[in-house]
Amino acid sequence: MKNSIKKLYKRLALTTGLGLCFMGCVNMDLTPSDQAASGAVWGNATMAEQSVNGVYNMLYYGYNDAWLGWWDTWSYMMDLDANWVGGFGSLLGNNTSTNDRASTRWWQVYYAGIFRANDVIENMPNVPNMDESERSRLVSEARFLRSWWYYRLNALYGNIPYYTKALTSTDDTKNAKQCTQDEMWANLVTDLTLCIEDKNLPDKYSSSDDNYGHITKGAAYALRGIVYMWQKQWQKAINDFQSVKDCGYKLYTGSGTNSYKQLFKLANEHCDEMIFSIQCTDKDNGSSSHQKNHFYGSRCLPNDGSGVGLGWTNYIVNPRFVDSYENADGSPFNWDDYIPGYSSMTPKARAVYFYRDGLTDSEYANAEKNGADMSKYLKSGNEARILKAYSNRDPRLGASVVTPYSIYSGGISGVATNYTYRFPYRTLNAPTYDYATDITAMAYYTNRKFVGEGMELIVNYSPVDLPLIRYGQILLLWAEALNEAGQTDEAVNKVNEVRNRAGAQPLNSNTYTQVAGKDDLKQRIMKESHWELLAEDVVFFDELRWKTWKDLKFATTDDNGAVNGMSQWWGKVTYSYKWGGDNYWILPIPANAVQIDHLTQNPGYN
Amino acid sequence: MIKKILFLFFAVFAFTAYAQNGNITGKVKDANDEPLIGVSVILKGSTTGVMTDLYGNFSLKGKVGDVVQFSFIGMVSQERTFNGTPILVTMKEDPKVLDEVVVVGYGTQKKVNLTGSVSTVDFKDQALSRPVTTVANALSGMAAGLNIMTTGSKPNEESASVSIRGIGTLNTSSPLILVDGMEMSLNQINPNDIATISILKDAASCAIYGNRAANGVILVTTKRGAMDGKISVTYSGKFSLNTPAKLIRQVSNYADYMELFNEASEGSGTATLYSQSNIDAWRAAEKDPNGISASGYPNYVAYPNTDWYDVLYNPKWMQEHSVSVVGSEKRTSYSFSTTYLNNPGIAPNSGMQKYYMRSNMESKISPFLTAGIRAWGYHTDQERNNIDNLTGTEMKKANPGTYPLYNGYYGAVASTEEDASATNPLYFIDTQDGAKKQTKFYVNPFVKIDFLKHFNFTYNFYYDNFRDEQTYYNSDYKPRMNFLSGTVTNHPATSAELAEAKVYDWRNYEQSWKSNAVLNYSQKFGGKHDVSAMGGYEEYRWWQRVIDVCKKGMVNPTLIDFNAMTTPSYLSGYTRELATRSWFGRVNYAYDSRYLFEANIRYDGSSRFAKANRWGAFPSFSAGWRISEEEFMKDLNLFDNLKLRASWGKLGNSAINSYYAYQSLYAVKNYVFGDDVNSGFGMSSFSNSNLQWETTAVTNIGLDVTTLKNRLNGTIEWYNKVTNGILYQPSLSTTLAYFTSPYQNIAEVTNRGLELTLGWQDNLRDFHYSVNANFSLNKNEVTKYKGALKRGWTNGVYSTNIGDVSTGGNQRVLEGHTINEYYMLNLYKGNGSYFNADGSVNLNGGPKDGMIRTEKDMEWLKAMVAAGYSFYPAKTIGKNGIWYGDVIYADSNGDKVYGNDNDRNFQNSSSKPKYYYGLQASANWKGFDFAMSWAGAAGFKISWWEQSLNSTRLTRCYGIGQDVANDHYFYDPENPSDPRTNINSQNTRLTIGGTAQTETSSQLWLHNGNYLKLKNLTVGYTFPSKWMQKLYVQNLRIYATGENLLTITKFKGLDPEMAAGNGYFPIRQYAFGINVTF
Repeated sequence: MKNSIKKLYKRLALTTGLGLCFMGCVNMDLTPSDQAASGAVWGNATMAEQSVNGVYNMLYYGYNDAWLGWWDTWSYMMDLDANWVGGFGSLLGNNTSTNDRASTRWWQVYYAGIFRANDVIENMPNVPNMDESERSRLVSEARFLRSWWYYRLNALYGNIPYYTKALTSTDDTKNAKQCTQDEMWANLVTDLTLCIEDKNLPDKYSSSDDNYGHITKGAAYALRGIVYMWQKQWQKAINDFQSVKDCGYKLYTGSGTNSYKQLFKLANEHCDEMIFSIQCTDKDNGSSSHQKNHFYGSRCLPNDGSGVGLGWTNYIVNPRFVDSYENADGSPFNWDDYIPGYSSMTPKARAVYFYRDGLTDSEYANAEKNGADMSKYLKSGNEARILKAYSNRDPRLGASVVTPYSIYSGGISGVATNYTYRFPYRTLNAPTYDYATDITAMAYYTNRKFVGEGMELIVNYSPVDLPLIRYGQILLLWAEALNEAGQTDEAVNKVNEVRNRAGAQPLNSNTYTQVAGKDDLKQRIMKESHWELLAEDVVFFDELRWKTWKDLKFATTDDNGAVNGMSQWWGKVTYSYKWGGDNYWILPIPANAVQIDHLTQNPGYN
Repeated sequence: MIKKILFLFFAVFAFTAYAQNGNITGKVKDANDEPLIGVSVILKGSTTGVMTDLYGNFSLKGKVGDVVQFSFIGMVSQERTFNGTPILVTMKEDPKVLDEVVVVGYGTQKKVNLTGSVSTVDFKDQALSRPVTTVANALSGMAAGLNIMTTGSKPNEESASVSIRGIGTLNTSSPLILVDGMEMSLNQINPNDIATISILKDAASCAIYGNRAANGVILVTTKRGAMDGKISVTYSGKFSLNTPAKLIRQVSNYADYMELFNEASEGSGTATLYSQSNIDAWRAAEKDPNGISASGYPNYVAYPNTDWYDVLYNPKWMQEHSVSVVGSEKRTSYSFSTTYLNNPGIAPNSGMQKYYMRSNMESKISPFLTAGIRAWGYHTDQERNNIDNLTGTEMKKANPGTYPLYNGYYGAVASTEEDASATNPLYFIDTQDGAKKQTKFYVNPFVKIDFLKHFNFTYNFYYDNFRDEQTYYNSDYKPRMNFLSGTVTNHPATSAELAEAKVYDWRNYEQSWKSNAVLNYSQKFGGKHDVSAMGGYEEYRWWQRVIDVCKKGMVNPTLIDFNAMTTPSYLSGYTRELATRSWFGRVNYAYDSRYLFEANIRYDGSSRFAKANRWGAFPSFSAGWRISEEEFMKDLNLFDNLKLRASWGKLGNSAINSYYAYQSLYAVKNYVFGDDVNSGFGMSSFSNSNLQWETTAVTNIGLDVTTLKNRLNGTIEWYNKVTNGILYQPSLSTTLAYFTSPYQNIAEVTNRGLELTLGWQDNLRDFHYSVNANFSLNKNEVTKYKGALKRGWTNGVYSTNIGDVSTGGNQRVLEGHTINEYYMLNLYKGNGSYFNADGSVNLNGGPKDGMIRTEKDMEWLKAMVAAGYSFYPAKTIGKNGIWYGDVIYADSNGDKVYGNDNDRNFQNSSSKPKYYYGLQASANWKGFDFAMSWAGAAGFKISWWEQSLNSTRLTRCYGIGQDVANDHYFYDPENPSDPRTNINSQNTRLTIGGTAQTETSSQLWLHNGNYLKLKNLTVGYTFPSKWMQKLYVQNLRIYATGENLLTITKFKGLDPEMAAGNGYFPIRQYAFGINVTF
C-alpha cells in the first residue's frame, strides 16, 4: 500500500511536471505580423517613410476598384448607363444626402487620405534617426496630397471642416468648424505655399528617377495656381503657371502629329508633360492601377475569361459634346453642312443617317418602326455619307472617341483585329467584324483614350499612369488667367501651343479661328479644355468654377423635351437628367456625417 | 450509452479501494440475467471494496457474517450478509432514481442533481436514421432555448445560425461548441460519431467556461468503448435522394421577358430595348420548337427559352457508409469507426466526398491510473467551383435568351439586341476548375489518476490540426456558340492570353492546442452531506497561417503545376494568433439529495485584450430544492420528481472578429514610384486599449416536474440575461468610415425569456409512444446605450440626436429597442378623402396603402406637390419619377418632405425570431418504429428586395421573377383600356434603372418570416432477433426517412430560415437506410 502510494506520487509528479511544461509558457502579448502597430511606425525611419507611401496609396481609391464615381460622367462630356451604375441620384434629380456615389463615398475617401496625410505631417517631425531634408520633403509631399483632396472636397461640398491633426479617437471629427469655400481656398494657399517654400522638394524628377512619382514643386505650383483660379487671383495664377514651366514641365511632342494620342500610352507616362499623375503598374495584379480600360472599353477588347470582351460600356461619351468638336479648319461643326436639314429633324427621324449600308428587311423594318425617316436611307451610300461628318474634324475627336463607322483595333479574337462601328450590330466575328458594346441594340459613342488597342492591355486593369495635372491643362488655365488679366495675345499663344500639338487649326490663323476679344477667347478656352481633357476627370471642376455646369449638363435636347443624358448618336435620350435646384452647385454633406459629427447641412438639402 | 458513461464515471470517481484476495465471492447480474460489470462491492463499515469484473464476478476478503453492499448508479442498492456461500445478486433498476447522467463542464452530473439549466439531446437515435449533412440540422427544434436556423446547404459548406437564448451581443452570438473538450464548429464532426449533446444555457452551467461562454455552451461527446466485454460491429448505410426544397421561378419565356422589359422601359420613359421583330421571331419559333432555324439548329436551341434554375438544380443521390466497432478487452475499451460520405450536391460541380476516421481508446493501466487517447479526423475532396457566384451576378445576369448546352457547345447570348454581359451560368461553372481539399485531425491523450480515496486528477492534452488547400484555374477551352447565328463566339487561348492565365493556390493552416489539468475531490459525510470540489488550469493557443499564391503564364491550359508556368503573379499571406489562460473551480454541496448547492468560478486571460484589461473573473452560484424528496411530498405520492432550482452567474465574451482589436493598425498600402511597387503602410484601424471583456449576467429559475408515474415530464424556465459592455464596432461618421471602427465596450442588452418543455410517454401493451414539445420565447432589448432618441422641432428647426444615441444603418442599435431593429421608411397611409371641403389638399387624404393607383391618387399627389410638399427620393412626378404604381412614404417628422432620411422609423421588428418551437413524436410497435420532428420560429421580419427575384425594378439582362411578372401594377393613363391594366396589385409597377422611388429601404421590403417545418419523418422496422440470430446478426433495422419535407410559411423568397431570396438551394431529402450490428 505504502509502496503504491509512493509510486503514485511519483507518477503524479511526473504527469503534473509534464503538464506544467505546457503551462505558464503561453504568451499572451501577441501582435500581427502582416500589419504594423502605430507605435512601431513612428519609431522607425524606414517605416515612417513607408507610411507616406500609404498616403499616396489613397489615390488609387475609386480608380482600381469597381466603385466608379469618375468625374467626367458628371461633366457634360460623358454619361453613365443608369442600368448598371446606381448611386448617382443627383444627376437624376434625387440628390439626397445619403446618395452613394453622388455624395458619400468621395467624402469618405478624400477624408481618409487627408487623415493619413495628417498622420504624416504631425508625426514625421518626431521620428528619430531621420535625415532632415528627407523628413521635410516627405512632410511637404503629404501636405500637397492633403491639399489635393481638400481642393476637391471644397469644390464639391462648399462648407467643409478643415482637419489638420492626426486621428487619435473617433471623436476627433465631431463639432468641427465648417469653413466657407473662400476660407478653405485661403487655407490651401497657405499649405501649398509651405510646400513651395520647402527647398527639399525638387522641381521635377527625371523620367528614369527611382523617385519618379513623388510630389514635386512643379505640382505644388500647379495646384496653387488652380486654387488662385478659384479665387480669381489671375496674376498670382499666372505667376504660378510660369513657375510650373520654369520647373521644366512642357508639352509632349515626341510623336509628331500623333503626339496627342501617344501621350496616353505606356511609353510616355513619364514624359515632361505629366505634373501629377497616379502611378500605375500591372505588377501587382491591379491593386496599383486604374480600370479605365475596363470601364471605358468595349466588348471588342481581349477576352475577360468568360468569352466576352473585357470592356464594359458603362460610361459613354455624350453626342452633344461630340458635336462640339470643330471642323479641321477651326470652323464650328454643323450637321446641316454635311446633311442638309439634319438639325431640324427629330432625333428619332435622323437616326436614318447612321444605319449601315445594305440593311436586311427586318433591320429596315425595325428602323422604320423606331421612327427613322427611312426615305433618306441610301442602300449603298449611307455609311459614306455619315463618315464625312467625322472625317474632317479636330484630330482629338478621332483620337478620343470611337465614332460611327470608324475602325477600332480590338483583341477579343486573341489577335489584334480591326472592328468597324456599324449600326445595327450584326456580329463581332466574320464576316462583318462589327464593333460591339454592352448594348448593341443601341448606338453610343465610346472612349478611345485610356483604352488599349489590339492586344495592348489584356487584363482589366491598366498599368498606364493616370494624369491628374498635366502641362496641357496648365497651359489652358494659364491662358484663361492671362485672358482674364487682359493679356489676350499671350493667352492665344498658350492655347495655340495646345492646338498645335494636337494638330488643330491654330487660333488667329483664319477667319474661323479669329479671336474676337476677351469673352470670345474665354468661350474658346472653355471648349478647348473639354476637347483636350476628355475622360481625364478634370473639366468637371472647371465647369463648376465657370458656372457652366448647369447649362451644359442639364440642357434640354430631346424631341420629347427630355433633358440631356445618356444618348444615342442621333441625340435620342435613353436616360435623362434632372436639375434639382440651385443647391445643386454644391453636394449635400453626407447625412451620417451631419448626424454624428454634428455638421450643418448645406442649404437646400433635406 | 448512458450506462457506459456511467460506468466510466463510476470507475473513476466512486471506486477508490484496491482489490485484494479474499474469500467472499459471488456474481452480480441484472434483471435480464446478464452479468453486471463495475458494480461496487463494499464491506459495510470499511473502506474495503472491489468492483465486479467482466463476468460480473467479485471476490474480496471477509468473513461469514460480514455485510456486503452492492451499488451501481441507476440501480437499487442492496445489502447481503455473507453466509459462506457465493453471493448471487440480481440488481434491479431503480425506478425512483432518474438515472440520467448529463455531461457538464469538465465532468458529468446526475440530472437530478443539476442546479443549472442544461438540455440534452441523445444524438444516437438521430444519427441512426437521419441523412443529415450537418449536425446543426438535426438539432433544429430539439431543445427549448437552442435556436437553430439552417442557412446554407452547399455540400461541405453547410451553415446554420445557432444561438442559445436569443442574441445577447452585437458580435458573434454563436455558442461555444466543444467537441470532446476542444473548440470547433458543429460541421467538423461526423454526425455518426456523436454520442450525446449537452446544451448549457444558464450562467451556472456555463461559468466554468468563463470566457466565450456568454452565448451558452454546446458540449458534444463522441462514442466511447463499452466495458461489457463484447465486440460489436455495426454497419450503417444511408441513401438519400437530395432535391431542391424549392425552386425559384423566373420568367423563362424570352418573348415574355422582352415584352416585360419593354413595358418597364416605356413605363420609365426610356427607350425600349427589344424590337417587335425580335419578339415575333421568338414567338414564331416557340410554335415550332423542332423546326430547323436558319443556322441549322433546331428552333428551341436557336431561339432559347431557358429556365436556368431548372437547368442548374437537379436531384441527385447522396450516399453514406459507416462501419463502427465497439468493444473491450480486459482492461481496455475501444471504439473506432470509419465513414464515407458522397454528397454530389444538387448543382453541377458542387459535390464532395468525405472520409471520416475515429478511434477512442481507454485503458485502466492500474487500479488508480487510467490513460487513453481519442483521435479522429477527416479528409474532404470538394469539387472546386464558383458556385457561390450563383447567388450573385452570375445567376442574376442569366436570362432566358441563352441556351445552356447543345452538342458540346455552350450557348452564347442569342439575340443581337441582348446585353453582351448576359451570362450562361452552366458555362461559368463548367469552366472553373481546381481542387478543394480539407484535412483535419484531432488527438486528445489523457490520464486519470485516483488517489487518496477522495481525489482524482485528470490531465488532458488536445491538439487540433486543420488544413484547407484550394487550387483554382480556368479549365481548358470550351466552345461557346450563338446558335441563332451559328457562330462560335470564343476561341482557344492564344499564347498572349495564356501568358495571363493564372493558377491560384490558396492554403489555410490552423493549429491549436489546449492543455488542461483538473483536480477533483468528492466525499460524503455522515451519510447526508455530499461535498465535491474541482479545480483546474487551462491554456489554449491557436495559430492560423494563410498562404495565397498565384502564378501566371501557361504553356498549355492542361499544365497547371507551378513548374509549368512562367511568371509569379503574387505571393501573399498572413498569420493570426490567439492565446488564453484560465483558472477555474467548482464546489458542490448536497444535503440529503434534497438541498443542492453549487458555485463556480473562472478566471480568464485573453491575448485579445491589452495587458491591463486582460483578465476577467466569472463566478456563478446555484441552488436546487428537490421538493419531491421532502417527506410531506413523498406522502402525497404525486410527483416522481419535483425540483425547483435557481442560479445566478456572470459570463465573459471575447469572440470578436479581430485578434488584435486593442492595437491600432497600419495595413500594408503600396504605391508605385519609378515603375516599381514600393511597400507602404497606412493607418487602417483605430485602437482601443481600454477594450475589455464583455460580460453577461444570467439569472435563471427553473422547475422540473415528473409525474403520473414517470409518464409526464416537464420543465419550465425563466431567465434574465443582461449583457454589459458589449464588444461592438459602432458605425462611424462618413468622414471616418474608410477606417475600421474600433471595437468598444458599448451598450447593455437584456434578454428575458421563458422556456417550456413538455413530454409524454406511455405504453399501450407493446405499443410505446412519446411526444415531446418545446417552446421558447425571448424578448430582446437594448437596455442601455447612449440615451433616448430625441427628435423634433425647436423654433422651426428640426433636430435629431440619432447620430449620437444610435449606431447602425437600416438595422440599428438604440436604447429601448430590440437589437438591430429595422429602421426604415414607413409607407404613407391616408384615408382616401383627398381634398378638404374648401378644396384644399388634405395631407391625410392620400392613398390608403401608399400606392398611387388611381387618377384621383395622382391628382392628390400633384396637388400636394403644388402645395409645396415633396416626395423623396424620386421627387418629380412623371414616368421617370413618381408615377402610377409607385409607393410614397410617410412624412414622419412633418417637414413637408415625404420619405427623407429623417422620416425613417423603428419598425418594432428585427431579423431575429421572438419565438421558437419544436415538436417530436415517436412510436414503436413490434419492431416498427415511427418518428417525426417539427421545428419553427416566429416573430421576425426578413428584409428582402432583390434584383431578378421580387424587385419590380428591372436591370438590363437580369432575370425577372415570375411572381412579379404575373402580378404587378400596370396603368397607362393614355390608354386606360390597355389589357395589361392591373391597378390592384400589391407589387409596384415595372421600372428600369434610374427611377428610384422603390429603391430605398422601407416597409415595402419587410416580409413576415414565420415558419413551421417538418424537419424529419422516419419509418423503420427492426427484424426480430430470433430470426437474426441464425444469421449471426444482433440487430438489423431498415428505415425510410425524409428531411425538410414540408414548409409552412408566407415568405415568398427561397427559404425563411435562410432569410434570403436566393442562394444555394435548401435541400429536401428522401432517404432509406440500413443498420446492421454483428
